[in-house]
Amino acid sequence: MQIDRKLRPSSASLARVARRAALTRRAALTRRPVLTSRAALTALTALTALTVLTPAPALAASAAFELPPLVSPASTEHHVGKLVWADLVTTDVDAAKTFYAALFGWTYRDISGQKDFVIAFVNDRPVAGMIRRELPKGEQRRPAWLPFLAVRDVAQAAQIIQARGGKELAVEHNYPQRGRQAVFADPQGAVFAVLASSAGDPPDVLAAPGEWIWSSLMTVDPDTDAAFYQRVFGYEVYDLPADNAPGTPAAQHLVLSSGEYARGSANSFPAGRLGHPHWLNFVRVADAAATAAKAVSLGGQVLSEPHLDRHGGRIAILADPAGARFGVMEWTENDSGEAAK
Amino acid sequence: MSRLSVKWAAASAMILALCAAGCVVPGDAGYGDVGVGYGVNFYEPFDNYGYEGPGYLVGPPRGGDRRLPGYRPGAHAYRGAPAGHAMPSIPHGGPRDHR
Repeated sequence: MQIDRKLRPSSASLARVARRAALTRRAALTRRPVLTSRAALTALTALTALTVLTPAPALAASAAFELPPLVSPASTEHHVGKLVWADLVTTDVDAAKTFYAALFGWTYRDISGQKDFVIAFVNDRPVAGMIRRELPKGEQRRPAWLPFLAVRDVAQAAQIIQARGGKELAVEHNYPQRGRQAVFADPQGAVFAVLASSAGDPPDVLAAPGEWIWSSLMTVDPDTDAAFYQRVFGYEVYDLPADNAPGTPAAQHLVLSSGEYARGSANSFPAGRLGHPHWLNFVRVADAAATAAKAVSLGGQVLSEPHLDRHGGRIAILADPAGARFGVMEWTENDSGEAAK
Repeated sequence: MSRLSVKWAAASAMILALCAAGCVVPGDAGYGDVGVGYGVNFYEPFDNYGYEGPGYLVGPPRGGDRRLPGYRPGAHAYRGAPAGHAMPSIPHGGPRDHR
């Protein structure tokens, strides 16, 4: 085929074209979009926001926050429905430490990385946590002791609680050495927590002085509440005779038991004392009257004078200087010596 | 800065985000985020407060109490313990060294 010589490219120009094409291809292959200063700034802003929006305590928490195991050495005992722990939520942890140390002989250990949280010990056994939490300005609320009741499966308990009208206040979370826990309000509004201890539950023996021994739910409807807690913890429910004085409404008292032991009670408020439903947790003491007097000398209050309970055991209802309610109870081996087994 | 690679920036962002997400406590069950988890709901409302009198008979039974003959649990929302079950008390005794 004949080609016009003028149109035929020379070998040199062909080589130039080929080189240029190759360079273009390579440039196309290696070309990358670049960030302008504005784009880079946007990316950095997004990263900064991500970091800032992530709560700093939470970032530090998983590394630093380690609660002591509930039982040491670990055991395989589990006592569903038993009061195994309590946390005080208050505005002044230092004042609370001073008060409870003087009252019960509690000692304390700080939690690494947490200036607002301490653990209280009795005879080297952890019994309670104290957490500082500021109240928003204008909020009229009272510090409180939050009871932790033992469960085997927090997720299952959460499901039952919510299906039965309870409200989840803090979602299930696992803490190394401690186990899984979550916080709820029952249908009447009383706040409680459940804990599936990874080290087992404390043994079923009489609490030592300074340890939690009992918990009473004060509520407007013990009947319905007992049914709720029975569903969650599998309690056997025993009704006690009403103790109303002549002319006053009958006060209902129900004993909640599991594993053949009484774990707590659900009670009507005393006549004329309606309030917000709450769990009232009791610490074992050697002398309820002396403890009440000491509480007053330390700035606390006596809400119910020391008195003999219906079955024996002298109790008193107290409040710490910040207003958190708790009970104290005398109890001896003889008091429960007749326990049905 | 003006020549930062998009790939590098994206990769860095992803790594940082993953690190942050890995450290965040999902939800707030309390301790890890003390400032967040223990919310105001954990305080009690400021209700009728003060001296409450001697009406608190809320302690545990001694145990062993039997129901009266012919006892029948009434109609309740809860399922009453069988009539034959004796009322239990709290744990007693035990291996601890401080009784």
